[in-house]
Amino acid sequence: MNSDKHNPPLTPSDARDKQNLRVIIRTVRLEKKYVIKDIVTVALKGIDVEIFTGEFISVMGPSGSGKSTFFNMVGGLDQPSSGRVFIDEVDVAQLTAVELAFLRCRKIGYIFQSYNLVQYMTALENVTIPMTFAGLHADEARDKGMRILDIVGLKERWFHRPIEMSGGQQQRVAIARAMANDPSVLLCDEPTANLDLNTGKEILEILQRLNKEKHVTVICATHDHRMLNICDRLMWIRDGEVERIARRDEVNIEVGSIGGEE
Amino acid sequence: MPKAINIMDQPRLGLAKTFNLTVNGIRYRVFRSAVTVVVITVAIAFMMNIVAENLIKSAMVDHAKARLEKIRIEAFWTSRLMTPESSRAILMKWASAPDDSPEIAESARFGKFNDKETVFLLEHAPSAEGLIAFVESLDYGRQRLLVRRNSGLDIISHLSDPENMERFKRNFEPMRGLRLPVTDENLNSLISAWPRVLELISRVRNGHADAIVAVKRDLKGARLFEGLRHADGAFGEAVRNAGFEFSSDTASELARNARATATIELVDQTLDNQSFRRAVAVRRDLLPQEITSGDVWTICQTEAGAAWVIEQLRQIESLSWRIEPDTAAMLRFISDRNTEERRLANVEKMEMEVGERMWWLILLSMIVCVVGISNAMLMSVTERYREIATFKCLGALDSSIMLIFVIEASLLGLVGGIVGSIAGSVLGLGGMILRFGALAFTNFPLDQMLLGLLFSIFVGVFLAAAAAIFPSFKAARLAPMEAMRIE
Repeated sequence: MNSDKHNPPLTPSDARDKQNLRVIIRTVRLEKKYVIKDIVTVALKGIDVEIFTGEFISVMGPSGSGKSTFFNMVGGLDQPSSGRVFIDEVDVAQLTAVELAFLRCRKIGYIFQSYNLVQYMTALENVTIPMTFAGLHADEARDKGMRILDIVGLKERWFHRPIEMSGGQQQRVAIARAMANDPSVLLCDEPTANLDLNTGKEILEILQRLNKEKHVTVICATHDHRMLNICDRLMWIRDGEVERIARRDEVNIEVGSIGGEE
Repeated sequence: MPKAINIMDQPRLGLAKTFNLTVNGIRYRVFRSAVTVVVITVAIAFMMNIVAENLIKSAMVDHAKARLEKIRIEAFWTSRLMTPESSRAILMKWASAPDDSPEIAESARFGKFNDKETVFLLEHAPSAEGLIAFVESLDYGRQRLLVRRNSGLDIISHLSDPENMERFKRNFEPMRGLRLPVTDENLNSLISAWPRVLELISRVRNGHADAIVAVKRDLKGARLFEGLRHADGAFGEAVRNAGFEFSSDTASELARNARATATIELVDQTLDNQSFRRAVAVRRDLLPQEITSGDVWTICQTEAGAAWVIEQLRQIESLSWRIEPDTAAMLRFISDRNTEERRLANVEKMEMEVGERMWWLILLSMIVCVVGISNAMLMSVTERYREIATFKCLGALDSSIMLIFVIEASLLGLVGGIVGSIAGSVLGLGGMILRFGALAFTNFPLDQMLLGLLFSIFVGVFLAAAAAIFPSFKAARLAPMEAMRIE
């Protein structure tokens, strides 16, 4: 493993204190196989990456490259076939079910391509449910939920159900929900794939703002090229392997060629 | 300002919060929940319908038995007032009736027992009766071997001879699989007490015979049947004075039955009269020779009909003197009783349907409940795998997810159980009313029905909760992404 190739020294675009840079997520020979009727599909073939605190990293790659699988492993949503995921140097495989629930509840926020809002709950209820799971009092949860909805610009629509909102609005509720318990890491699985250009841009702006203002580590699996403008690092996955990891300033020149590639 | 991740145990979601979450879920998915409730309702209604029908049926059968008993009261008292009970019947009574029952009191009165004698007979009658019943239950060959040809009370008298007892014990020894209903100790004390027991029993018989004589004396040559017609008056008093246990309820029932019998006799005799026969034939639109007493009773079904029969009777010289003030009422009474007896006979036939078939049907309906409810719950959990996965992503514990589903299932089961059990009992009751009319309400088993309702509701809640446990356990245990993939 050539760590220089895969993890080039990070120089964030904003002048953040280098002393504070720690590895928050590290994967070691991460593999995932799916077995469906005796046919083994290898989705990830040994991935080693390190992701730092406060970083905005985009995971790119064609469909079926293993982006989503990688995302699920890192978020503790699925069990790896072999290899390890360390979140802040804690091996996820070693966690009990109750600790895993704690991790998902407060340390990681998830944003999905298809929003995955609870259909029968209002925007506010969707945002406050992780707080309920965290044991927050109902009144506190409501106040905090309204504050977060304000951040994503949906304060006025707190009483709407998912079906009464546009895709962009739903995704903003999903972001608010992911931020409910002030997580350290925000995992986004193609957050803009179902949205039109403008709404996608809004979502990206919100993500960027959260990254800058709340110093949340954002890991974003995406096809969206606009991501290049806001991320710190880019990671390409192809056929279950890391093809390349690069800082944004290294890539900017090549934008055209990447665009052509996909 | 990067934050370090420290991992602890996720707190449990409180019951109140889980409950709230569940109720909100049901409220927003009213339609889907309603479908599940309907399935549970139908299953429970099916079961409750069968339970209710059978409860009402068995209550009606019990009632019919009691009614027929009442109708047969006349035969019972006629025999009691004419012949003394057999010694065996007296022994059986003392062996099985409760110590403080009126029958025992009456018997003791006949025998002029003092307290000690009463206690003595009460003590020995059960073992004596037990032994006799036991020997009589054996096949003829064994009976011969044990007690020769004796039967009834003679069995014990026979065994009182030590030689016979020896033979009994010797022959009983090799009979495998049989056990005497009395211990050796009891047997010995019974044998030694036996002469005294026999004496007491014969005193009861003699007392009974004396009482019969006293009653006969009071009749002053009239037929016993005539006396029974006034059982609720002077004659009843005489019977009571003679020592019989003759409650006023029994007396009035008996008097009424006896008077009814007299009226039946009267009507049977009217048919010998040609002009009466013709009048009935005209009224019933039949030929005179086809007329039976049944036609007269049919006419008596209405007040006007009964009045018409009385009117006809008055014109028959040979019978008009037998018309009494209550004859019209009696005509109606018998006509109603005939109808009732016919209906009760129907109920008696129905007795066969209760019993085994009832348990089979209830079992079947339970199976329908189990299958229907588990299918409904399985569907409603399976179609929410994505929601479960989402909840898990947001930090729900496996136990919280299971609790949500179990609470939801219990609530749906409760609603379905309540609605279903009420609908089932209403349907069951309706069916019985259609078949038996007002008879369905006689002796209505209200407490049993309420118990049945509670039972059905419990079954609904329990089955729904139990059926939700397995699929939700499966779903909660999956990693979130696996659960999402399943959908």
